[in-house]
Amino acid sequence: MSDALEQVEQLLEASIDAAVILDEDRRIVFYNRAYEAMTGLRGRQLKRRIEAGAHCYEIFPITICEFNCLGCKAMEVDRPLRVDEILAERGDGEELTLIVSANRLNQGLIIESYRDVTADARIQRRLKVLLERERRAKEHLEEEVSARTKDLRQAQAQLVHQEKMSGLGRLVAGIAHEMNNPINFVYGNVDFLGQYMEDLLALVAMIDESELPPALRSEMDARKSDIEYDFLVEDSRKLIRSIRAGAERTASIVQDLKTFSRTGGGELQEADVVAGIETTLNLIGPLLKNRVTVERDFQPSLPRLVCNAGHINQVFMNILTNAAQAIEGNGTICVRIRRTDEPEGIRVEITDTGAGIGAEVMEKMTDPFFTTKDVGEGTGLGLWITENIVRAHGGKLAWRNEAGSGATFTVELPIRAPETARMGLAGGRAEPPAAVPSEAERGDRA
Amino acid sequence: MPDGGSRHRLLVVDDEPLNRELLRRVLAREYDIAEAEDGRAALQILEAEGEAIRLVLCDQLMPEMSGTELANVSRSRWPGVIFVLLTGYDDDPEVAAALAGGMVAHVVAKPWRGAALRALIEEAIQRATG
Repeated sequence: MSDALEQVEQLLEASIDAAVILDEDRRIVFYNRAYEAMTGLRGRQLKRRIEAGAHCYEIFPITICEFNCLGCKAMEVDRPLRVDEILAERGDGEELTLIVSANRLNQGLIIESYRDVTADARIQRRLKVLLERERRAKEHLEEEVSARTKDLRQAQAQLVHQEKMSGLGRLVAGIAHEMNNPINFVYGNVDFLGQYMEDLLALVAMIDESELPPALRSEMDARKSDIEYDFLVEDSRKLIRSIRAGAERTASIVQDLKTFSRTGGGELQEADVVAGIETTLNLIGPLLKNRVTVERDFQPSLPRLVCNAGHINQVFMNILTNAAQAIEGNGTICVRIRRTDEPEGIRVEITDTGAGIGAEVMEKMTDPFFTTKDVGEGTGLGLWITENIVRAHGGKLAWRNEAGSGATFTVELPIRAPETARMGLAGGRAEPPAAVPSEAERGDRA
Repeated sequence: MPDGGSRHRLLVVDDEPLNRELLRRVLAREYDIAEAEDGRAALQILEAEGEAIRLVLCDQLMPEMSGTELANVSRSRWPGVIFVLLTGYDDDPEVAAALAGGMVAHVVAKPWRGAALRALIEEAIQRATG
């Protein structure tokens, strides 16, 4: 054995890494103490096996021995090689993680060393798990925070909406009430005006039919032609009719606003919406009679809804009335009701065979006071109220034209309406509107 | 028209002069009309005339005293006087309670029609007279 080899062996003996020197046949010509400890074989046992000519891979097999012997490779390429994270099994069965390095010595010898990094690897794995856990926790926290933020934003938006609606409701109720007296003057007095005028006209007719001195008669005739008497009579009657129609229309707008801003009766209750729709169809019977056929397509065993039943009836009353009025002459209204899963509830589709919705109407449909009906026929509040009610119920209102002709209105309602459904515009306040200045000034209801 | 040619006397209570004027126009042909502009004035007239006032037509929302308050005060002293409330708030709980408790005979929602109001008053007086 050369001095050089001896020196190497001395160095290896002192190394804390396990090390062997192998000959060309992969038989061990030297091993250090760390190697002995690593194989788990007792000193003598190890020695005996080496003397019996056991190969290195038989004594201490590691995962790369079989196909990818590092020693052989190092020989081949004639330079030191190193592989990290090699798994091996110690004699006592414990699994080890090693860094293996191999290098070529002179005379066809190979030096291989094994550093046990099992503890490091374990710590690293543990660290990795911990880091991963922390990352997930952080991710979860972020999700949680973003979900909570979203909830809060929604709640805030709902509160703002509620507050706005409540203020608007008080204002509307106050205005509606204040308008009652002036409407009453016009409404009540116009009939008298009409009656008085007819009485006066009768008097004039009486004079016309009486014997008059010819001079007076011709003076009267001249005067009549000056003021266009016949036109005046006819137009005065028209004026009175249109004043009455105007007052009636104003009264019905006020009535609509009062109904919607009404403070009482806003309790949420379980209701059979399908039965409500049937009742509504009965109520609008006169609009449909002998003219409009109603087709019913109801899914069996539809759920009952917790809702503001009076308001929901108003929704279908408005949509069905519109559908009936959209049909000129004969036609069909189809009412389709289905159960929905997400969210759990029902979807009501009401399709008419009318002329459909004009492009310019589509957008403005639910604007307050927008109407396509003739003067006196609609207040322009129906669909606005409808949309507000549906929204307050956490539902959706949509409309579309059908191919060919007709339109479909779709109302989606959840099985349980949120608290916002309690109110109309009034925000569910129990006290009568107090925010109207004139009422406050009058100081009534102390 | 009541028997014996004597006309029933009605008291119209409303703080809005134009409303009183309208009520007088609607009812003056058939009834004797007294007017009061608020509850206090109405009580003064009732104090003086008692149940000679057959029926009180009264606005609900008035300064000082509401229609139902006036009805409560006067019904205990002059139980024979019939009360009819005119109101824009037909769903006011106070009004509903007064109607349910028999304090007022009728509640008429504004705006009202003359013919309907006349018929209602005639019917209320007839029923009370038996």
